[in-house]
Amino acid sequence: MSAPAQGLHARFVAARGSFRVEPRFDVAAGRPLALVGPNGAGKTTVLHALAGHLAVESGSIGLHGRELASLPPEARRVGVVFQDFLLFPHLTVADNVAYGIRMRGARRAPARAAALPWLERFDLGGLAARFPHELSGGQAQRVALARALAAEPEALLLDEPMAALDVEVRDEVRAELAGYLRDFAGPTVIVTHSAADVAALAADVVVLERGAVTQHGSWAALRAAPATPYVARLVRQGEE
Amino acid sequence: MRRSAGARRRGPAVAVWVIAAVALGLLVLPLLGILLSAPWPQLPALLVAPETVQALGLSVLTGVISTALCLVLGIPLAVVLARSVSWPVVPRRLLRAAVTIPLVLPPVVGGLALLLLLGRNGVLGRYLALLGVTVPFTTGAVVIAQTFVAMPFLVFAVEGALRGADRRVELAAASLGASPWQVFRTVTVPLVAPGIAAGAVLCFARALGEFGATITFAGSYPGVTRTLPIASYLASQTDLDQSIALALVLLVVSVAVLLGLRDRWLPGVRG
Repeated sequence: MSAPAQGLHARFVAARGSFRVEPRFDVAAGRPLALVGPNGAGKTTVLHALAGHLAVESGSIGLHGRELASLPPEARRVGVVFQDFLLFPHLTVADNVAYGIRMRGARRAPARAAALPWLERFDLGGLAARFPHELSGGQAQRVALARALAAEPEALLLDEPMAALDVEVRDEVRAELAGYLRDFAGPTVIVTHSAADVAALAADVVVLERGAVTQHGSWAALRAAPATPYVARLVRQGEE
Repeated sequence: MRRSAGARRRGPAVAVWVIAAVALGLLVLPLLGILLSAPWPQLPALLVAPETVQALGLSVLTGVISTALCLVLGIPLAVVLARSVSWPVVPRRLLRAAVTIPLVLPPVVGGLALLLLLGRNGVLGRYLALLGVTVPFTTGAVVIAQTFVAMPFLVFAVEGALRGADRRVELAAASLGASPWQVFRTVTVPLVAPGIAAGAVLCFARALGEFGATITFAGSYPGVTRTLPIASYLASQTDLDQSIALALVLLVVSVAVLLGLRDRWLPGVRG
């Protein structure tokens, strides 16, 4: 099975304990994919497998024609924004963003210089010298996104990007995030269980239930014909 | 006389207080004894005596080298030990037991074991001898003995810090392109820096006080292997004032370690 040249292609089996997920989906660049499903459906397991933090049992992960399944995380060029961001607590905002650049061999000063445009683009210039514990949730999310993108990944994964934020700021941060994601040229996967995230951030949706894909299509197609009770509930949640 | 429930809730029985006071006395009174019998007027002269300076210099030198060795060897061992929680029971317990050995083994036995391993006719020593390398009764032997007894302090302090840290940031680092070695250097080590610092201080204190393994494996050659504790012990046989002066130096270091460490890094109270 040869993977098509462009985009992200997931056809694999991964297991965590006795729980197995068998996702099958494609993500085209410029069409962010929302991976939705009830709690425990295996969404985060899929994300960890795509990132290389969990080995797949069999199958293939193709990214722009490269096979990722056998590569360690550091060789995949897949950026991850974690649910609780996982910023490096001992590094400043500037050094967090410069981290990926440094790991590719740049010295501290040139890496910081290369990180500057990213800090500015994510409106972090004034926060460069702060440490993660001094940031608000929205600021931490911008740092996490800037840090992931500064490493110049070929694909981007976001795990429940709004979950760690206060409810009052979610709409505003979500709109900002949508703008940043539009600017990213590679395939993007957003794990979420929120209809608002799907509507604002994604072009396509894959529904994962008990480890298997139960529906795949645009948000409009899901709304027109929900395939399972879960999808129907999600659609109703989006209309409230 | 009947005690009310309220009285009982007030605290432990009087007998418990008394026994606790005896225990505390046993811990503290000997130190008071040193301070009371110290030859204070002659102390400056005793502290700059050549034997004192020589022993102190050797102790600090070997203590620093041992601590550095414990850091270089012990941090990776702590990482493996922390990761061993996901291993099968038998190898996991064996590893933990191996790291604990120097804590429960009488130091003299440790020194004898080192001698049997690295001595001129020892298991490894006979091959080292062929290469012209003699380990026992050298300053190097002092360092090895100290590293042997001090290692667990470093390993357990760092392991405790690793367990308390959110290690998922290591995944974040890997996804940003960091190789496993880069993750260790740039994320894991800084993440547990307070544990490393505390472990290093405990390690240095233990190395500085090392006696049994050192005298068995390295002997007591002035300027070569005669460290402060050994010098203090030898002096106690002939010149008590000199012995007390040397002991005071060790006591001051111990108190400094106590004051410098936060409670949670001391053995037994780590949560």
